[in-house]
Amino acid sequence: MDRKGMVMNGINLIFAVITIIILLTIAFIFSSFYGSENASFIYEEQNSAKESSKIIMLLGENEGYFAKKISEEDTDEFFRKLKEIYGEDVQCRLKIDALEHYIGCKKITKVVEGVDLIVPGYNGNIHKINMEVAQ
Amino acid sequence: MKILKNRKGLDFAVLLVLAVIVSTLYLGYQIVKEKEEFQLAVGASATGVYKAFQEAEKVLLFVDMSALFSVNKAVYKLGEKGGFKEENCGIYDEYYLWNKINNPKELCDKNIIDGFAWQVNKEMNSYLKDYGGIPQDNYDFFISGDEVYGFATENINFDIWLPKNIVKYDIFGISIFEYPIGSASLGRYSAKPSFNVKLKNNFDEYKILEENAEKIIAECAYKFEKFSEKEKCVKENSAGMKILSKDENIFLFEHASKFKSDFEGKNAVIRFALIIPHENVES
Repeated sequence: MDRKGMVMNGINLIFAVITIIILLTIAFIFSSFYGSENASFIYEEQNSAKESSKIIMLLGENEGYFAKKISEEDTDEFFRKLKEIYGEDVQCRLKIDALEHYIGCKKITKVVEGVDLIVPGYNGNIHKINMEVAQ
Repeated sequence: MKILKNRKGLDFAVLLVLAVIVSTLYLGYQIVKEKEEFQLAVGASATGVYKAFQEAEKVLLFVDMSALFSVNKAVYKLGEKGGFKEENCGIYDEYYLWNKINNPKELCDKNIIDGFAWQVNKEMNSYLKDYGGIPQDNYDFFISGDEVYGFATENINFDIWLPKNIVKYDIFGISIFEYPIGSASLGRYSAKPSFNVKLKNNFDEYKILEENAEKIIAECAYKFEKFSEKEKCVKENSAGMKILSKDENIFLFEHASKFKSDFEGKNAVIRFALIIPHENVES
């Protein structure tokens, strides 16, 4: 191999190394994006489930009171307790059998947490409860 | 162009290109393989467990509310049946007889707590059947003071499902297709649907009423020939109970209980019938 050939081989080698480094970098950058979308989805799912559980627990802790108020369609006190948990600025909506209640709450603009429940009525009816909270 | 003329340099360049292609393919293969090994996003399992827990809480809330209603309703129903779970000595005009037809001086055996538990179970079944998936006749009852406990014998199981379509199969960020993993179950979450309800009624009223009934029978049965005299005797010994005379030998009683449910607008009523024969019946 003459001198020129050796120089050119050296240049080829440098280009090849640079090419591999660039390819690896691109691959690494792309692969690092993998999962971020899912992670965000999972976070939202978990957060939503956690907040919905808060509502269910709240209902559970006050089930007697809740049952009575649902049957009377009086939800003031219930919403007051909700505000204790989520703060005064909470926006909330309670739907009982498709009838909407905004008592003590501002009208919902964007729902961030919600829960669907089926609860019994004293006289044997089944009530569908949908509760939404926005902050 | 001089490089191309240099045969040895050209060979080396081709080799390098091949090496780059092989390396890139191997890299791509490794990345794809890595993704295949991690089909679930971090936290997906935890979310599945949390959602199963949430479903269980919904069911438990339904059970708790059903129990609350059932216990309250059972007090009223038990009163209507005079404390019996089924007719032991017979029924007269929907009033359960408290003393025996063939031996009116003797009261019929009844277990108020047993009757109450039976009634609560019956009411529970009527509520639980509407939800679906909650076992019926599933409780052992224990009543202590003003507390009613229902211990579930059978648990309710919930499948832990993975969140749907959370894994995208992609190469270098380009989505190829999504795994339909929503149908996969991680396992089961088990919940015991037991309950505890506070009751402002301890059934002592039944004991007092039984004592009254015994007194009425002792004072008024077989002692009067005229109905009016017997009726007067019964009234004097009834301790404020409402009396409905339906027959010459059968008296119907109604006692307004102290118990008033939050869900009913009136107090519970305990009603029963007593056979109080005339003087000449015994002979």
